[in-house]
Amino acid sequence: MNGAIDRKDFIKTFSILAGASMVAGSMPWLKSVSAQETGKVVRLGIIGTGSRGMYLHLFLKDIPNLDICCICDNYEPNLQKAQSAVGPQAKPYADYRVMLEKEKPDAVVIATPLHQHAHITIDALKAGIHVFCEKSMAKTYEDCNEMVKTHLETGKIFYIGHQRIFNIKYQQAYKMISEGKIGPVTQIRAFWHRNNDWRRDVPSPDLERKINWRMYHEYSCGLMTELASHHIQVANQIYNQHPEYVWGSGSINYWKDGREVYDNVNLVYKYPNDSHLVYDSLISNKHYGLEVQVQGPKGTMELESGKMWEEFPPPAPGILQLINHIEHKVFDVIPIGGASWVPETALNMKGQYIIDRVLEDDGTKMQMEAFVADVRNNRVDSEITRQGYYSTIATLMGFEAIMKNEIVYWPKDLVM
Amino acid sequence: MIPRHIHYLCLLEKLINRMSSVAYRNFFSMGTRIDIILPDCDDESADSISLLLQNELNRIEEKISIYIPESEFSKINKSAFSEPVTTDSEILNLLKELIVLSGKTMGYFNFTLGTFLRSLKENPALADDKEKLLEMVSSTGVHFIDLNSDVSTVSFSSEHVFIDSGGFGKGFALDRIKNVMNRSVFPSFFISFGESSVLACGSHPYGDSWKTGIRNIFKEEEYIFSFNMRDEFLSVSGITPQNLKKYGTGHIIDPLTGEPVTRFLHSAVTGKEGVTTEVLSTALIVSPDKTRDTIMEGFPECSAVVYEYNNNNFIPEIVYSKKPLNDERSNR
Repeated sequence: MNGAIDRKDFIKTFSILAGASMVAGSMPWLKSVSAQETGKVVRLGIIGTGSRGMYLHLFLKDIPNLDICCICDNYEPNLQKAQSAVGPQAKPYADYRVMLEKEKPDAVVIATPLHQHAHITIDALKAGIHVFCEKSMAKTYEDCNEMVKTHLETGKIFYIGHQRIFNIKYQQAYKMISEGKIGPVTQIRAFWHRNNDWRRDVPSPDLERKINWRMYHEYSCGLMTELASHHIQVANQIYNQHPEYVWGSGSINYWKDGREVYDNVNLVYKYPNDSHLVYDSLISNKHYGLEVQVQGPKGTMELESGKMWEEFPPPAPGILQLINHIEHKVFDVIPIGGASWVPETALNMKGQYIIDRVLEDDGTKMQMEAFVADVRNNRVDSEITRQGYYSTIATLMGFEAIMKNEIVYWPKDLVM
Repeated sequence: MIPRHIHYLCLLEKLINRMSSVAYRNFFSMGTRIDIILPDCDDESADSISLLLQNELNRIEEKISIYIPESEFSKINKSAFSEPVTTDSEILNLLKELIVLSGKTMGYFNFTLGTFLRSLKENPALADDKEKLLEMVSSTGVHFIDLNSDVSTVSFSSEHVFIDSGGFGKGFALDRIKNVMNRSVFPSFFISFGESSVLACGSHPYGDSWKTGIRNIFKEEEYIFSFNMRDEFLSVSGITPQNLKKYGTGHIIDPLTGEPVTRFLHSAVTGKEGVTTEVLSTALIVSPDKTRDTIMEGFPECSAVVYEYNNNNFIPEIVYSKKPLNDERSNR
């Protein structure tokens, strides 16, 4: 594998992808990545300064002409930690409404628990503030609809944090798939496996639900909204459509510790092109880790590991001749002879890299830069909102299918 | 409406075709494409045997590849000069077999040249210093390997000894493939390992053997030799002008002098064992013309042909040939 991709290389490659005619139409956000930076300072607030919010800050802090002017969290220890990380220029708030009112930032990054995404996003958009909201979009169909409706009405930027949209490896894979490298995609298999209890330390029992909100249905849809939505977004993008329906099952079969959300989920999504996404997630075994396997008659791609395999190794002429002879009932000489075992050819069986470079960004860095660039240039891209919207709708369908144990169809009353 | 008798004839033809169907599977293993031909085999059985072979080849590769740091050979290469390295009986028996073969080929098969080959690759100018080459190869060889069967250990008494599986790996793999196939239900099959090593058992469905031919690389329609193979291995080796361009002069080395072989010699060997045929196909290229008879006396079950090209054509005089060959010398 070759050396790391620096920012210049990255933007160059993204620009090439953005310019590729087959790709540009379906991925307009690629233009944001290579957008020219201007001198205008963007004022940004972070709402939700827990682990994810602070992770996003690591990328935000290096963006030129970005002033992280305010931070907000209703959990005091997190707010204090954020203050020392972000710096004294960021004014701290416990209530986001007060922050929006007083600071009037250009944009906010929302990294709160899922059940809070909707009302914070809607309030911010209505206040004329651009929004980057972590995935999933919201906990209910109604909330998602209301958020997207507000985005359309206000004309403000509304990103959902699906970083694979900005992962150059994924984008290169989409390009190769659209060029037919593995033939028409006939199935996608995806999985996300971990082996831990998915809990966070709680300083006192009365904070259990606040800190471990992912464990309870009041705040979360568990593995579906916290992990599956990423891979569902990828499948939607590969098939270039949303699923028709889904069925699935789940249970708590290992972490029986009082949690409400399932510790394993298994789903089949049916797409209109008669293809499927087969998905499973569990947190009691990590042997297989996470992967998205894209299968077609000519090859296979594994997008997380960034590799592809040809379905059939190139045929050996002599062997093909032999098969031909047998099929035609001919007994004759076939040619033999080739190179000695040269281990350098081992690459053929281990697969080819989709991008033969070291990738240091899973898309999060580029995503934050693109969001800030769009805010700076007031460039509203509803396609990126649609990606987040549709992946969350499909995610919620999966959750509903599991909970009700029935087939759930794509809703008819969507606003986009 | 199709007449009933025609309908039955169609069914019969389908049945015959089904019975004479040939299953073909291929996959990559050990850096090489494996092609498997199974006459009269259904798809499910072909999948099943193909998987067994893949698993077996993966297992072997993890033992003998010098490119896998945890392999048995990597472990031995890393530490056997410092201290005895414990290994398993399969590797110990393989090393014993290789040491015997090195002796039987008068040292023209030397699988301990790894360090030397690497030096030559890194510094091609070494090829011009004959004294240095001789000095370097003299510090390699099987006499520097000590095997202790009682405690299953391997030691090297020269720090320059480095086992390179490139000269016998495919043959060893084909021997193991034959073991797997012998336990299966298939009486006839044809397996190619990167087209330079072949295992042909039983017979072609429309013949009494499997016919394989060695082509003139400059005249593809012409066969230099052909073999009627039955329950045999075939291994071919050679140096072509293209090899020299691609790999430089260090592709095949005379292990007694350290000097690269520059004649465009080729060999084809058939025999009853994979490792033996592969070892011989290389040894016969590097050994001097006058020694080949002596070497082949030690391998009565093997047949061999050595032939030569010049820069742009096949030289019709066969350099060496040992009968009885099941050859037809067809199309010449």
